[in-house]
Amino acid sequence: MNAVSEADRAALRESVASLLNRRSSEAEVRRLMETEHGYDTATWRQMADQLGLQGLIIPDSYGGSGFTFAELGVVFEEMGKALYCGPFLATVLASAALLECEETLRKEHLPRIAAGELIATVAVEPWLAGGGFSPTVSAAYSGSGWQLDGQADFVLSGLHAELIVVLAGVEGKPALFAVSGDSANLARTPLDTTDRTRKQARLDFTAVPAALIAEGTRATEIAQRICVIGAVALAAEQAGGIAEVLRMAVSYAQTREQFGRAIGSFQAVKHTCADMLVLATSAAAVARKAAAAVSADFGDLRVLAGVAKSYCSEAFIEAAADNIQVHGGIGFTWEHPAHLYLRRAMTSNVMFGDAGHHRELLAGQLGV
Amino acid sequence: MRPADELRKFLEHELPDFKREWGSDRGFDARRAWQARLHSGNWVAPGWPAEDGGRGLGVADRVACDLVSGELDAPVIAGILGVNNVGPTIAAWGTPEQRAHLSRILAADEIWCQGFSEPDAGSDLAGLRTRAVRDGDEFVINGQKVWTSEGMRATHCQLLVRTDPDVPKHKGISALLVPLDLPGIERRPLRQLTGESDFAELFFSDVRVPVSNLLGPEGEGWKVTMTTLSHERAGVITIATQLEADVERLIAKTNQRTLATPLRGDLRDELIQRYVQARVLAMVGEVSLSNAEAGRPGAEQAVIKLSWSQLSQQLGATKMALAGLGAVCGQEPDAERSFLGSRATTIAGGTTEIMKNILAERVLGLPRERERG
Repeated sequence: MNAVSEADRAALRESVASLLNRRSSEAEVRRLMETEHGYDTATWRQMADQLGLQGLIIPDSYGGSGFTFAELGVVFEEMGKALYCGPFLATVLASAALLECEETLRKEHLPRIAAGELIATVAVEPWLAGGGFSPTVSAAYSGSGWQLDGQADFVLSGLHAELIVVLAGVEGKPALFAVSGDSANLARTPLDTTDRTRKQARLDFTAVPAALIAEGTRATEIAQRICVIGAVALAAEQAGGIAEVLRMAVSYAQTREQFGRAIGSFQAVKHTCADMLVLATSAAAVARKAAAAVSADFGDLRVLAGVAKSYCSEAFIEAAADNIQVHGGIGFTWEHPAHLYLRRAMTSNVMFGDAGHHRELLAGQLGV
Repeated sequence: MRPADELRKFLEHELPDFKREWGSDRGFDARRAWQARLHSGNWVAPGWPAEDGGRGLGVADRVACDLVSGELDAPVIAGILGVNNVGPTIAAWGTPEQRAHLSRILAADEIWCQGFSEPDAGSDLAGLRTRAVRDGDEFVINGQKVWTSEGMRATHCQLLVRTDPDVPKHKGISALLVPLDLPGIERRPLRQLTGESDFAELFFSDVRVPVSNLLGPEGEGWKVTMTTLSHERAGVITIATQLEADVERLIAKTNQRTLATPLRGDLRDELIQRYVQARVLAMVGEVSLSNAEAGRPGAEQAVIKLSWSQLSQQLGATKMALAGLGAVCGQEPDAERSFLGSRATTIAGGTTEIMKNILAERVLGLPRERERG
């Protein structure tokens, strides 16, 4: 792993922010929201070619940059700020799964992912709600290989992913499979999401051929790791989103005048902005700590992931709502970007476990 | 050996002796005796520069030492205000003669309090009215101070007075070093709603002090008082970490209790919410610490004070909720004290309303509201 200084991370942040500034403007976000696939292939390619983002945590030996999740967290923060539309989270989660698999699989897929040539995702919904494993997709072995039957719902970037890592049940026991997105008998239906910047699909499997990549306890471990990384990545995005809505609210409070002065000179408005600043500062601190814990593999990574996701999920909803409040009537319009952040906050909250779910898990971990 | 480890060794040696002598007594005399012990090892003010009698420790080491003291449950010293607030101010602004107070502060020969707030000057401290009128080579002081911590037992007071009523309010304030045994000074204990009297009211009637007791230039009292920033920073980070320890202790205690009867669902969630908040607060503290070490400014410090004060109150409420009926019938003094005592956290040292104004104006750059008149 490369040793990264604070200055290096700051430089990475600047580069990502600069790219997103050019390629993920509000106009572009709104344009992509209305498309079925929801992302721009040229931007996706630029992310790989110019900054190696897709391969950031993939080791050099597979064509990546070999950085840590602390650096990836910075990328997610900036994407959260810009509401980047694209299959980045999905692909990162799939790479995280593949990194845990055996060598042939890693060599087969990771270099193409790092190069921005392969878009991938994960379908691990049965694990997201915690509790026992009740698979919605089952796998059976026939003469010609494994086949999957059933339904996977809420799959990020599921409509256009070329590689899908699916958690399925083999006689009721967890196993992970790799499925090709363009398989015959795989029906992919786009979902009508509250947050149109983030596409999700339902996948219907009818005897779809699949490659077994992990089974039993190993499959469980990998699926749980995907959920932890998903929670931490989302926490980083949420922290970025909070920073952006704070900036928006303060900017408006400084310029909008009523009663002969800027509305930000009124204490009530000041206090709302101060509350948002507390949320932004706190979310950034916990999201970054959790991100650092992923690669450093701290003893209490799962606790940190839960603390980060539960805090940041609620903080983002609150901040996004406060932002609308500061904007008054104009904040309630379609044309103003405030609701885009609220929609993102609403969705990020429930993905990979909402705040209450993570507190429930924490209670168990703390023996409460 | 790192300073905190050195301190640990020292405390592990001294505490048992102290506890044999004083038991669980943490009254003023006990704390004065503890300070004498710390003084023998030069551990009263490790954050002070060596030339002032300290060890010159940086913020990180100071926090680490505070945490060791907290962990080992060492008493707070009697002269805490002198060490954390008044001493550093005298070190920064004092004349060579005034600097002689420093060694007496360390030895607990002098116990200092700060005379700042008045009945009509709380959040608007700069509106203070205690008057010091020049008469030859003396000032004559008349007025009243309130919410003076340790005011009853202190020997000296860092007093903020108005020396010029005809200039803008911040410019007409001076700081005076006042011995509290002078004629004309009366003190009364102020009883807070928890029942104790940790504070005093001070009354000044024609009290005469030499002009040479001015700390810093006349009319610069406001600037002089703003000096103690770096000590505050360490203190704020320490309280953030201590709250985390407080929550973890509460969880351990609750887990023990609920072995027989499971915890009600909403109380479980409330307890975990406190855990999440406390952990997040401690992480903001870590960020503040690394900013302090790198000499970087940051909003974290003000954010911590605000978050800490709110979490303290919420934690008090959670303790009460967990304790049930016993809490209001004298069976859970800690829960009762936490709840009642924490009403002050959003008021003392800067009210929540003022803190939010400061965050909004100084950090976010929102416009100030014009003062009337």
